Amino acid sequence: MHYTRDQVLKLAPDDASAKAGQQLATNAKWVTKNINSRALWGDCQGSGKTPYKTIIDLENIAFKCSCPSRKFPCKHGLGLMLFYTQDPSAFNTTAELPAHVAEWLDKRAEKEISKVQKEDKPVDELAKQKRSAAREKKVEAGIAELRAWIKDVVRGGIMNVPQQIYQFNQHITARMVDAQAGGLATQLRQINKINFYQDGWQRLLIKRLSLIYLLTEAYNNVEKLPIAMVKELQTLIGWTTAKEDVLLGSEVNDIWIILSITTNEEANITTERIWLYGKESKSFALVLSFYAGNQLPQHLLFSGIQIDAAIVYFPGLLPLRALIKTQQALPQQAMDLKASIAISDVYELITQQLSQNPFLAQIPFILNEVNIIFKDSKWFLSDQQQEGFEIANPDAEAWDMLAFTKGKSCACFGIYEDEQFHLHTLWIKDQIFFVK
Amino acid sequence: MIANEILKTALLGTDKHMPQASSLLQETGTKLNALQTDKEDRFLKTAITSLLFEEAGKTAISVNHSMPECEEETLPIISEGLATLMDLAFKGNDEVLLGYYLYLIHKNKQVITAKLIPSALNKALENKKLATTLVNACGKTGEWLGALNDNWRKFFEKSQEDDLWETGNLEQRKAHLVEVRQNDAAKAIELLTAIFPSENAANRLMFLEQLQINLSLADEPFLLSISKDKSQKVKETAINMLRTIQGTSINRLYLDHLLRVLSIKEERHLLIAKKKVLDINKDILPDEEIFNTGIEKVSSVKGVDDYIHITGQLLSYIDPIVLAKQLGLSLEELLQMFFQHKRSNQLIPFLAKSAVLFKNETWAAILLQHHEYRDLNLLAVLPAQDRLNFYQHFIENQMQNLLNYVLEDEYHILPIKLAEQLLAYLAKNPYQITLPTYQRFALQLPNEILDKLQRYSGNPSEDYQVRYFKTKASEMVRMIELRNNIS
Repeated sequence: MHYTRDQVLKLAPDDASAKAGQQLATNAKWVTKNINSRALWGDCQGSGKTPYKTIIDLENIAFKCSCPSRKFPCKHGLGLMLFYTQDPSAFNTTAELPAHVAEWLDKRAEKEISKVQKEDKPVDELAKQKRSAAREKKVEAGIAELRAWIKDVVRGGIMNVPQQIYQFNQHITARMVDAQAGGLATQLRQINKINFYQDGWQRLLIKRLSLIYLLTEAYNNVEKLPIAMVKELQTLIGWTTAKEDVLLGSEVNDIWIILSITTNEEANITTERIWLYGKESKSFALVLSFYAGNQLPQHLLFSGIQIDAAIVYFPGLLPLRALIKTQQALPQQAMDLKASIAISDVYELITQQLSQNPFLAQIPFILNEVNIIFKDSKWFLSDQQQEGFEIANPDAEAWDMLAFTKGKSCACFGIYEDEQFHLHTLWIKDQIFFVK
Repeated sequence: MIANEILKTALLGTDKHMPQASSLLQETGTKLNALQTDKEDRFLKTAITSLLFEEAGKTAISVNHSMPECEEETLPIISEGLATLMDLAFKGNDEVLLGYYLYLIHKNKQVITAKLIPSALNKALENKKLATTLVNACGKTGEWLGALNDNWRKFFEKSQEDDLWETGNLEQRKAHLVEVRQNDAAKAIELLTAIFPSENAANRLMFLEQLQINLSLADEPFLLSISKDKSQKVKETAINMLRTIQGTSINRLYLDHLLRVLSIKEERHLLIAKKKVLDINKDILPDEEIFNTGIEKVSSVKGVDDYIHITGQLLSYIDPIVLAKQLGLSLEELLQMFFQHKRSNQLIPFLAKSAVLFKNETWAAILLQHHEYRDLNLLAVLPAQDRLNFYQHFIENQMQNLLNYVLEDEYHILPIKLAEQLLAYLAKNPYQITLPTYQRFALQLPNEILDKLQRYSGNPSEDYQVRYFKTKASEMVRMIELRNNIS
């Protein structure tokens, strides 16, 4: 197991768990502690009589603990892993697994096999076509209703929307879910992220509404569009591409750098975005995962690591979303990426990409030799020609970034989204700062 | 701007307004207007094409501003490991560990990593006690960053000191006065004389209290001038200072009276040996003037005569060295004579007060050796190492106050015997201190105590109190291990 303390702490579901985990990373707390190539396990003496039995599956990262905590991983799992990073010599290396550890690991392996078998089941093509046709019908009806709703909104004007924002799109969003157009429902939910207390909401709202309208217009005319655009539209409307179908696509083999990992939670669903950059292909990839409730990421990817991996992009125009097919972790290396040094190139990139795909939600970019500037209480990224853009990161993040750069030039990775620039990662030589 | 027309329509609604075609998007506008659809459809298509057109056509703005680069740090930067621990302490608001890390950083003459500086400076804003060490740990980068931030700037401002005194906030003015007082006591008096009449009572009192630093006879004129201040508290503080400064008119009054009533006499012992004894003449009455300086005329304690009470009060304001010299005795001899006096029990508390006030180590050490005269405050007079011998005497009755002395700023490791005694007491009385105090205490426990702590933490008893102490014992083990890992 080659995890650093920082990396283990990133697995913590919250700061309190990280702190509690740290408190358990001590010899005194563990009655037994063992390791072999498959697992790390130990008995932690809590306040009760019986110690908690904690197991960590090292092959396919997962935690199990007999404690009643609902957090995942619990403080015992984190504590055990942290303790190992601190003092591996305190662990007993053994080839034999105790019964409870072996049983759990075997069960997990069995589940994996049954999952594959389930996936291998033959599909009833006729029933599938029937389902697809029925869904298409539902979606078309939903789209018609959505178009009528948007028209009603613009006919009456959006002036009073801030007063009734909670009810404004509630019904139509639910209707899109019923119409099996989940993508459209997601697009409509974006409206609720607009800050209606801040000037500028008018532009954001009308842009969102007219963009959804454009999406429905494009969908109604799919037969006139190229296949890549059709795929893009289908995804935006809510059709999903099965993981196994994506994996059949062509692989891009490269050394991929994990530029940033961000998560955000909404309605008990955690969305994780892992941004990768191929050293040779010079292309970005976004691995998007969704976790419900206490689900745990099933990967061991951390910001800053480099992997030798084969990735496959989801079909679409200017594809970004991808799946990792195979991967192998590489030793830690400096983030030495050749990229543009002119901010005007980022604007050019935005122009190019939007002209090809107006529905593009996020545009990633890397810049070299840029500076974080604080001027008149605003934050900017500036190149050596003193051209730049305003940074949308919160104030606290911006101060952290300035402290990291110390006024010196740095390289950065950022995302252009909703007409705003968010910086995710900065680096100067071998020093990296993950803002997010 | 194209967007303005679009926004106007969006706000008012297409029933009331339709946007004019933009000159920049004439071709698209013509095509959209030619559509045989309703006006809402045409508006929505115009809106998205215009807004996307505008977005796609944006160019970089001129920033035209460069920031000075931060100077290189002259001190070494802390290890990555300590930086991670500090980051966790900031996030977890763990002030015990933060205090310890800052002590290590200060001791090793290091500075924190740049990434930690915003957290450190924000912490300094909310925690005045740690503020100075936090700011010092930020080094050159902190200074550079602080100059750019309105909230942090005050930590690094060394500007025009006189301006600070006149225009700074109360904290800044106080800090300035303290600094001046430490370097040039007379200058501090000059500053105070100039502003005293125009300050409110609370400020006057706060400034006056700072004169305790380097208090000397030279301060007498100023203190006398304010001894009739309108504020009772200011007046009392000034008079109290005058009482403690050796050589002031008030203090001379006290000493003169003491020299009149105290005398060393020779007594025959067993008819052969002669022995010097201290005599207190109860017939000599003090000047009435003395009672105007806050000295109580009548004893309120049963069994304590008024003359003993008055003598005791006066003794507490006289430096033992001065008194011993005046009586031609050594410090030890003088104290011994007080011990032998028939009213020693009534007088010694006043002598202890004097020993504390004038930081007399000789008297403090002697008094602490006598269990009947032991006063916890005397510990403050002794150097940290010398105090260790006396801690055990206060464990049973004054544990909480004792910890104020035990847990000192240098994190000296306690002798194993004392650590065991303290631990044994806490095991029996686990609720006397809070978790942060347990954590802080653990940082001074010797490694040899680990076995004992582990025994406490493994105690199988289900008794509530034992279980409570069990968790505290394991927390102390963790703190010791953490300390050992850092070093």
